[in-house]
Amino acid sequence: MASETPALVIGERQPASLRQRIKDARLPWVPIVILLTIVFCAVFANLISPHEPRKNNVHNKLQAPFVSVEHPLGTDRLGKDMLSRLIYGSRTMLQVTAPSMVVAIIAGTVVGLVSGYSGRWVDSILMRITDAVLGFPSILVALLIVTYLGTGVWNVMIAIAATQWARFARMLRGEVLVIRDRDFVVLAQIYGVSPGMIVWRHLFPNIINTLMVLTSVSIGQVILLEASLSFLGLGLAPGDPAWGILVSEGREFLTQAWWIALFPGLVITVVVMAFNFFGDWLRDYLDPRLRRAG
Amino acid sequence: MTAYIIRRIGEGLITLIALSFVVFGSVHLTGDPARFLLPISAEHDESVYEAQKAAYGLDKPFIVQYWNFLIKAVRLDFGNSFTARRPVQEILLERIPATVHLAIAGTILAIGIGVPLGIISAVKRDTILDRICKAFAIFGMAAPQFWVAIMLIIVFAGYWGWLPGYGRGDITGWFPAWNQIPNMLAHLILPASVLALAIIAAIMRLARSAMLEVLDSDYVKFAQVKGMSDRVVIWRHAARNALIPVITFGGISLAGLLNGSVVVEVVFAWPGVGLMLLEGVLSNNFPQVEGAIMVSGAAYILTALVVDILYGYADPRVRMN
Amino acid sequence: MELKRFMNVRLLATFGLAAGMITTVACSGASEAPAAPAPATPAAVTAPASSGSDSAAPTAMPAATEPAAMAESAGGHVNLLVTNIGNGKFDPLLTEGEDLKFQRIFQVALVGGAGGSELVPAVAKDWSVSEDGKIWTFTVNDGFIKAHDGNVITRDDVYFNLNSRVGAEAFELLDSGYYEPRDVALANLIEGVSKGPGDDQVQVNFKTVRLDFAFNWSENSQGASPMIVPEATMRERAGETGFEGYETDPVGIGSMKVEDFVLEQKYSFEKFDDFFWTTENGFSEDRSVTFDTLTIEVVPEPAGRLAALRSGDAQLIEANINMIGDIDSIDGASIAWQKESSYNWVVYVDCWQEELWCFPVEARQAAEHAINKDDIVNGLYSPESVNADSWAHVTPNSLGWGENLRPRAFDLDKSYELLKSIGYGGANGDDGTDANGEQISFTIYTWEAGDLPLLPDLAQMYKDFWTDGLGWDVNVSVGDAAATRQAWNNREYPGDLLVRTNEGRYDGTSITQGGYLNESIAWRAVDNWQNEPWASNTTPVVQKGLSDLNPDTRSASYNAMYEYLQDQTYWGDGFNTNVPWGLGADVASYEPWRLVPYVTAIWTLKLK
Repeated sequence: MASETPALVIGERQPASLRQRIKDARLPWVPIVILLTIVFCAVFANLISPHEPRKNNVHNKLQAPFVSVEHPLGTDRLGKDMLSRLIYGSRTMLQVTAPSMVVAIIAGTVVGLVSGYSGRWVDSILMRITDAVLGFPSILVALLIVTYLGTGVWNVMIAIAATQWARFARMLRGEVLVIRDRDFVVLAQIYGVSPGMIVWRHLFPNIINTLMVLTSVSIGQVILLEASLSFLGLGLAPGDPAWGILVSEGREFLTQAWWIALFPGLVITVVVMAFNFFGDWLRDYLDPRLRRAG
Repeated sequence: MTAYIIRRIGEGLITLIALSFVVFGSVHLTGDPARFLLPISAEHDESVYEAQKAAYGLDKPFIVQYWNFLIKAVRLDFGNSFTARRPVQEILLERIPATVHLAIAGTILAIGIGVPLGIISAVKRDTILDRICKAFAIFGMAAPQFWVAIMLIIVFAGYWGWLPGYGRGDITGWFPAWNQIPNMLAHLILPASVLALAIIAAIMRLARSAMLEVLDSDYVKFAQVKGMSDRVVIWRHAARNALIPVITFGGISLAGLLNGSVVVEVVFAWPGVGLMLLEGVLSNNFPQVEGAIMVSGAAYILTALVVDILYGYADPRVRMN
Repeated sequence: MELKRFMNVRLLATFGLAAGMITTVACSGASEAPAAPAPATPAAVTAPASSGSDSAAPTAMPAATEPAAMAESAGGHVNLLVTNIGNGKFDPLLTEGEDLKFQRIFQVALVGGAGGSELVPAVAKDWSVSEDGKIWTFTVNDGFIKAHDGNVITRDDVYFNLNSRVGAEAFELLDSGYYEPRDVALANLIEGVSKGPGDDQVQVNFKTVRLDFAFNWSENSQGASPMIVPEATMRERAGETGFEGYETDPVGIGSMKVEDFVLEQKYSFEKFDDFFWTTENGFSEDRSVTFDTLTIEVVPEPAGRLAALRSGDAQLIEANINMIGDIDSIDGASIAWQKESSYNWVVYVDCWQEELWCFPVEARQAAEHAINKDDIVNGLYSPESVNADSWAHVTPNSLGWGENLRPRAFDLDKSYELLKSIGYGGANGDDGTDANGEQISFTIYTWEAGDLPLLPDLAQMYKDFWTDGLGWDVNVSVGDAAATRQAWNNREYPGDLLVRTNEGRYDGTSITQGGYLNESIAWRAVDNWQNEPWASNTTPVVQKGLSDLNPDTRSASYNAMYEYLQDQTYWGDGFNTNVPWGLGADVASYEPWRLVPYVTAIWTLKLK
């Protein structure tokens, strides 16, 4: 939920050593470690994964996990190494979510700021478009793109960006509506500061906290969206090492090879949980009033 | 206030028209349905192809097609489904009840589980129980719906055979006969649970913070001072007041569920609008896709409209803007 | 929080209004259709008994009336779960492929089938084609075939069925708007349908040679259009433009009658006691079902179908080869293989263009020799699920198959030799270059298909064989089926490969005709097409092969033609897949037909 409290201005805080500040922040170590691990896996996937994620080895298929050192998490229906596919899955996830989120955040922020500050018909038009996008199932956006451009990482990214910006725009606009009536903005207007300057110098810094919280909370949802699209066959191509596709492949083997669907599902859950926990912590940290409220 | 409502309704209408343009435009960019519809033996027969195109009015300029679509859509007439060859309206009328049932069941379940969890977590703040409730809620929000759905099917419908794992049972339309209700509920449990899981966390959190605030309030303290037992204070006085924001949120999330149930409907073969939409999309069935999206989009926009108007009612500042 | 500002009543109003609005949107359509009774009492609505019902009304979907009573039936109930069910139409001409899942349960085709090649008497007791291959004559089993509504099939009924689907009446129904142009594609090729010459005969007169018509109108074919319905039944159900009433009250002559249905979702059938196909009526086998009721329902999710089979809720499920391990793990469950129901079709696209790497036939042959079929059959699939004895659509039980069509052996030396002979592959034939010394590079296009699983992985294996063995630079592109087909149609893949699936068939005449005689079809494989299409080498061979009208020598002629075409390798060696059906613990046996990927031979399903 959008908070009405303005962001803390850096100067207000008591100067403290970095170590002290980290200690005070009560960082959520478990989620942070999980997220760093995932990022590490994604960046160095080609170095740390024991096998090629797309390489079939039909003489070694459906091998159970925790049995051999060569395939610690077992193999799939074609002898592909599950661990390698999961590791590469984190790379796929990051490749899809990171750029699309950046685009969505920039677009959403611009729309939110412009809409909230301008008001009147600009606001009306932008918010109607935002509402229309929010009412448009992301799955259809994805399919339109897939049909038009073919399957692949790019198209899921476009689909995510095309649907996610609206959430940012809606949320930030609400924030701006509150801030723009505050004294410092009104004073700046009276002093004749240009609207562009007001938006950039006075409004934007005050929505950064909301933006950060919203981002960390949204990433989890975006990961789920990407996985769902892949599961429905509307996203990445079958055979690509993406977590949603792994679950989809595993559903025909639930009895004979439970590990194919179970591991990727768990990984998605854990990663999304880590993002959500981190987002919660970030919100509490940036907005102590909420922390007090529990 | 009246002016605000009128303006807001006007905006809602504009949003709907924008949605219709986006839907119609993008659906028509995806390809030529007349080509897909031809039997393989006639795939190369241009005369059949042209005739087929003309039969669907696809030979007309885009803007004419859009206009025809728009004036019919006003009457909720989206034309005939290309594959089923019957009015999309008719299919929608069969499918909407299923989706609405599922969304309502999901919301009720989410409130039914989320609120007690939230209250427990508030009353037993910072205990192990609080943490377990929180962890469960956060897990529910993070676990992918399709994955949870499959796992539930394999366990509850497969190994134990307690609950049906597909379909809607014997019910069609809005209202079951009395003797159909048990069957209907049995079919609802698994899909509604999966839908509910995603919003339990939000409801629980809302209930928890509302409860904490109420517990902090003077009248609860007064009641405690009066010597009423904790149980009575919590359940009779505090919980009742904490419930209010939760129910509002439930109403809002209901609209979201109507749109967001595609995955659940597909996995559970639930004959709702989401499944209809995916079927239409996969078979290039333009009218079916357009109908499904316009109706769910309209439901969403209308809900947003109502919520906004009520917000405006409560907070004059919003109205002035 | 803003939410807290709300008063009790307003909050509840929000909730109520949100739900109310949605409901209003949902319901408002009902008032637009004046003929429609309000859908408020669906449980009480039954199917309109006769003609003239408005198909726009929601009552077109008769609600489940007494499902409980039906399920309790004593002689056994079969619950059949399938992946999809097509467009849900009952009119045989309006149904699409997947509908055969239920069409064959309550209807019977003009000519009978036995799975694969054999055609047997059904509604027609005899059929023959004239010497010029243009006039087909059907002799009707007149006077004892009863439909579910008591009407009896006569010669005139068969004439009506043919005439209204491929004859003059089809065009009337097109003009009235009942049919669409796509429905009369076959009718366009027909001169006319006539009664005679005998009292029990009907003739179909084609504009051109048409040798597979009896097959097309048999139970062995892919389409639903050969299903026979009494004329009186259809006429009673006439609506504004055509036979709209039939969709709400379908009647057939099959072993089960339609009891109840929810369109596109669920269909219930009940045993028909007056079924004609029995030994008493002189048929060699009794095709009456051995159970009382059957429900067929769409469950796209494989885990859902498996769970239903495990819990005993379903007796028969549509499966795929990935699921056989899970079916095996269920106590008492078993698998029935539907043989040769689809085949993989490898197309070397547009290789008649001289500038492409695949223009020399040796290059294509070398590619085939570099594929280890054993690895594909035993590793990727399993010996019971696929059979690598076929070329393109010519599978072991189809017309024209012979030992000579078995795939070429895995032999890399042979590949190198072939490549060297055309100056490819450098000194040893293995460095992956073409005659100009440039790296050979192309893409394999494919998609994920329900009837032939693992196509993307198959393409990946082809890639591995060619990359590792021949040094070619190969990409695999897995796309959406419709989009890929469209791009292929638009000639966007010259020099690439398409690895796709297609339904198995006994008679490959039309697909061969399309591929090798018609230059406008995307899957054509006509050599020398660009310059002088009809002066190509392939064309005369195909024309000669397809022109053999003699039933005794036809198979041999086809075989000779296919042998030549296999050698040309515009289409690669393939294999056919056997599709598994999962049988529940209470099912004793089921023997689906080969070469037809739908629900077939339901009378062979025996409950324990």
